[in-house]
Amino acid sequence: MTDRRLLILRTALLWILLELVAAAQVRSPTGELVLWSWTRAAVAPLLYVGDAVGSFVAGTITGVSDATALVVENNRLQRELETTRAMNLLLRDDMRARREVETTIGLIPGLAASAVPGRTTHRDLSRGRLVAVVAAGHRIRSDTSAVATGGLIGRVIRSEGRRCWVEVITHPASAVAVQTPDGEVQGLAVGSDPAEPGTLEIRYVPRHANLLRGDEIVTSGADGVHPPGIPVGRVITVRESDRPFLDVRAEPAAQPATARVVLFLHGWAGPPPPVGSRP
Amino acid sequence: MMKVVFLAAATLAAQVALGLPSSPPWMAAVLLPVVFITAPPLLQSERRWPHFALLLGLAWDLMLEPVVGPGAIAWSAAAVVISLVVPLVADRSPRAWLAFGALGAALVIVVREVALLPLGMTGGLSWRSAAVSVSLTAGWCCLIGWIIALDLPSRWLRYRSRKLR
Repeated sequence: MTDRRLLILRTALLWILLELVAAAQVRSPTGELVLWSWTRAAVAPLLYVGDAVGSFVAGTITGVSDATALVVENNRLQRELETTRAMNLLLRDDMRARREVETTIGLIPGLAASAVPGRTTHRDLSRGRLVAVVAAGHRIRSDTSAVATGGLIGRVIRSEGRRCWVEVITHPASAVAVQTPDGEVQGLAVGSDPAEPGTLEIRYVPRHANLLRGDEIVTSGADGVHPPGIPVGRVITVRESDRPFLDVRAEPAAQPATARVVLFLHGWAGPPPPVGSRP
Repeated sequence: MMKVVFLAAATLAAQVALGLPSSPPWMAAVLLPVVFITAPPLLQSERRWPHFALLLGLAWDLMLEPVVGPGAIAWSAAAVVISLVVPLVADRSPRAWLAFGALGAALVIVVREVALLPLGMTGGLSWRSAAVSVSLTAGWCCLIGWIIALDLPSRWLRYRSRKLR
């Protein structure tokens, strides 16, 4: 850089300095120093950009935090919705169970006083097993009769805590002493063989017995396990055979596959005798 | 250097005196210190005179202007421009003094107005007053150039030598 250019550059810088000095002495019509207004005008774009960037960053942060809060709130609401749906399903199931209990209690007179309801939690009909849970504080003994909607469903074979394992009456090892409601025909209802699952075989029914298809059979109480008078099933076939007894089959009154609730007849001796009958 | 400073101070004092209420109004239009920014390049003196022009402008501002700064800018700007233009011209006669005096005065007036423009203090300049000021200042510079061209000391010495002979 030549001396002349250097001189001009220095002089120009001095001019700028002198202009600033002059601006520091002059006030604008509003009473403000001109230098201050220049400074403000020079800094204003930077402040504007800074403000815009700050607003953008703040807006972005707010948006991200809001979105995060929204996602969290959405997840919470989804969980609540799922919980509510589950509660709704449970309540609906409870309502159905309640209706089943009422239906079952209304089925047999005098049952409400001592019956202990239990919720079915598991069923394995191929093995003739059903698991039910009773309320805390109830102790269900083995060989307690279990009744579901329609009639007898089985007997308790094991009880542990609140859980009770029930052997359903369609199990081949099950045997229930039955009779017709009028007591004229006696028999023994055993579980079906694998050839006809889900049915009962009524054994030891004499050939001369007056038993027709559609007749109802109830417990007789002769087995010492089940109280008398509980519906067991309905006759579906009556055949003669070469044996001295009729070949009778019945369908169970209770459906283990759909039973939600079972009633354990804990300490129940049976329905009260009809009015006017002799003891 | 001290002589120049003294002359500048005397010029500024004279400038103040020209603006006294008792003097004619046109006398205040003469920019007497312009001769200090036209003389150095025309006389080919040292090149530090733009700084001197700056100091001269500051002194002008302190004595005559309401704001310190624009005058210094104007005077130094005029000095810089004249320093760039004078080497382009070979003429050093009073006519050159006249022209560069007019140029310096015009530059001082215009640059001062430009420097006052951002401060919101312009509005006092008219073409007529500027023309009067430029003309009178050019005449003043021409007078100085003519006096210098006369070379009175050498004439006086020659006269004395003739008389003593």
